[in-house]
Amino acid sequence: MITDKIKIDVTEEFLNLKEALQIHLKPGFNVSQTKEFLQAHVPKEIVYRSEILLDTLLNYLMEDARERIKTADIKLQNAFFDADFRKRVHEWTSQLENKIALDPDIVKYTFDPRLKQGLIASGITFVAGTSVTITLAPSVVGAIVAGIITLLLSALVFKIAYDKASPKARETIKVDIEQYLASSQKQVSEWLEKVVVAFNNDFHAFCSTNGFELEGKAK
Amino acid sequence: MIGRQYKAHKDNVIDLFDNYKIKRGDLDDGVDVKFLESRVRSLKNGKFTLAVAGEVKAGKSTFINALLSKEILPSDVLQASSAIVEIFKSETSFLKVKFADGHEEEIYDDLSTPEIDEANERLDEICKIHDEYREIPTTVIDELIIASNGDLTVDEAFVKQLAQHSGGHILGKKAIIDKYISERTKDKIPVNIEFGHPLKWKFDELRIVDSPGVNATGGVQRVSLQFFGKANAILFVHPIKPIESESFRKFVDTVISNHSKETLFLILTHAGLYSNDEVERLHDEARRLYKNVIPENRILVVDSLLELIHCDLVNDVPLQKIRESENKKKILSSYREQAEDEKRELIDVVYECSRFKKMFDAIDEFSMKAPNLQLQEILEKIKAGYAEQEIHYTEKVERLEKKKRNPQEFEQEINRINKALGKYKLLTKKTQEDLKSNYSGRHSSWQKDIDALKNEYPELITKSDSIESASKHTLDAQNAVEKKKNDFSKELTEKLKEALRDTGKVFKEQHQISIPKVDLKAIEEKAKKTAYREEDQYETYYERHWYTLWLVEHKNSRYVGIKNVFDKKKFLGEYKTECNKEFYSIVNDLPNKSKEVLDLYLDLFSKEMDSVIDGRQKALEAEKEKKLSNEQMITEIKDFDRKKKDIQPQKIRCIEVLEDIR
Repeated sequence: MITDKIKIDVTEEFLNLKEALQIHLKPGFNVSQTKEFLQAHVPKEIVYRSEILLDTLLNYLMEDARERIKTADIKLQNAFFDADFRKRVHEWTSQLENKIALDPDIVKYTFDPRLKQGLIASGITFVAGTSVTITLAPSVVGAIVAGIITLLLSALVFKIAYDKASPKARETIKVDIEQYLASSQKQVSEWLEKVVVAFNNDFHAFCSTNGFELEGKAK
Repeated sequence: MIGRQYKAHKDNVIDLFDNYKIKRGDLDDGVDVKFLESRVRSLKNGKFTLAVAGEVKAGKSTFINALLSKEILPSDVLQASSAIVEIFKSETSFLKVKFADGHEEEIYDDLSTPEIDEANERLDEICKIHDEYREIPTTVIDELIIASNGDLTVDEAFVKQLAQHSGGHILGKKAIIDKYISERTKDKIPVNIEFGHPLKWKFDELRIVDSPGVNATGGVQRVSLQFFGKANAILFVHPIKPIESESFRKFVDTVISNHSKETLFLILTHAGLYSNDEVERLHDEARRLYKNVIPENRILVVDSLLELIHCDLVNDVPLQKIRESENKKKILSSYREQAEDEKRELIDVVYECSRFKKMFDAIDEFSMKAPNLQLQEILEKIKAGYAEQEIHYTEKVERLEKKKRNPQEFEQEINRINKALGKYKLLTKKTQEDLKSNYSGRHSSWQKDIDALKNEYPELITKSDSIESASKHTLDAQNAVEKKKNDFSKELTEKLKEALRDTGKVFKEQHQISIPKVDLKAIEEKAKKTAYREEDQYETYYERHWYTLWLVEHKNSRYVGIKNVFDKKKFLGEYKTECNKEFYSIVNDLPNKSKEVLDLYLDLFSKEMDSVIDGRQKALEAEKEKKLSNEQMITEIKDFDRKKKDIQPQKIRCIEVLEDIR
């Protein structure tokens, strides 16, 4: 069955994509740069691979159609090739309502744990520092010095906590991408199913217009 | 000189094509004559580029002068060679210089002053650089000036970075660098120099490109890389002693692309200063040292000065005059002695010891392969055209004989052929669909090749530990994609040819007709040209990023009072990401582009094939309808026989030239 065959192809193609993405997710990768890069790169790759899968599906469908009209006369067979079903399907998929449109069209990341950890740690430092500053209130110079130290310390603590949370951030990115891949795989499969229906309808219409009766069922 | 044989072959091919065009007339012999004509035209206008690279002060200018057989470039002064200098043959001397600020200058030789070559003098002026700047990396600084907005600040950090980039010892030379930058404005920096000169060589298409000096770390400017990519051969010049060259190693390993590596020669100069035994020993040493870098037959030894002396002697320059040059005088005395001892002419000894002949032969043999292949392709087409014309005339004669003998049988024959041609049309359509299926989808070998590229290069780019290495891998990746792109249409032609040959053979046997032919190579080129008409945009990206390195630094220096440190690691990371992005966008476009080529190709093929078949069917019908008397038929038969005989000498000559080229 064509639908079963293409399902296997979709699964394999998404597995390949997951594997290919590992180049960018090697231990110690730069969180910010990789995050930004993959946000747009992953959807682009999925759209690219969907096009390849569409061609794979068209190969199956054309092979089946050729087999079913091989008993027809030379004129009809010539007309079948001239009709260019591949081109027709591509035109159909380029129409707005039939286009592959991923939802969402970029990888949505969950909250960055580095930011969370950084804010908590620097917040605590700031509160503690402010308390000290208040206790030094009578001395204006002391309060100013303590205030500045509090701010600098908070910033430093933020930086330390932010960097320390990087391994966790890397894990979160990997999970977010996996989830995006799973949801997209489903969307691509559904889209290809629609293509099968559209092709078969078109092919049947062609045969009946040309007075050719198809035998047996489509694979 | 390089290309002498090629020149002879090329002239033969042009002549053969002109004759073929006359003999062919309006007959459709399956060759797209317009396309073939355009190929012959581009053959006439073709360029053959030798790019010369090497460290500053390695004897590059003397070597180029020896190649040119004329002392054109100043070799006794340091060259401010931040520009590419293209030298070629022209009727009179002329110079065209493009400067960094965009303005251009053109100088033609004033024919009323034959003793002064104005263009050459101006070239000297532009290339010369003051002695005080000898120790600073002027080419790198020039590049920075070009990339800046005219406000480069020279501080210690800048000098340190410059030293790192150029690999030279320039720390402590801040003042001299500062002076150089203040004097060197963009309107004084040449970026491209074209120099035409009435040279004596016979190979008119030859262009010698003098690239800016390679720095001690093997690095070159981006503009040089572009020329290396297009060159038919790259000659890296290095003195024979000391034989070890770190810059050459790095130049090969991390700077030039793998594609450029395939055209590289290592030219060891100054051989005339040492004894034959010493030169042989050093040559062997070089072969051993660079065993993994370059094939040993591409390491050549020469002496440029001896070759220049040889040129002087050929031109009857008196010895007295030659000895006016200190360098020549020094080397000449020992060779005069040798000539006397061996009782030979000085000119012969000098020529032999310059070893230029050996070098020319080696370069010729290697770098003429591709241009010769082009000649072969054109000749193969002409040969196939003649073969088809022969079949056409033979069949016509056979049919006329049949018509003369039995008109009814002749009519039946025409109907049978027409029907068979209809069937052949369907066969070609089936073949086209098979091709579409073979070249699309995830199971096609074509797609698997693209996937392999996508696995290989992003990994190499991501693993790169320097900007140069990331650049190199990106360039290699682009070349690999380019190669794939070019291979695609070629492969398509081969596959279609193969399929048509196989089905055609069976068909011919079954139906006893000659199979209509179309010019697949012409279709291939047309399809490729249409589908890829807006390409060639990748180099802009590189330049942009190369300059970004310095622009980022430059922006940082605007914040006066705050010490900004250039984050090399961050920059490298971002650079690699950008390289990957660019690569993915190119490689992901490949299936779409190839599909575009495939569709266009098959569409053109289908139209051509249909038109050929329809044309033949119509011609057969006309032949059937044509009323001819016996005498007329006899005259026509004689005429076709004569035409067949006429093409024989050309066909034989075509085969002979082809064999000679091979």
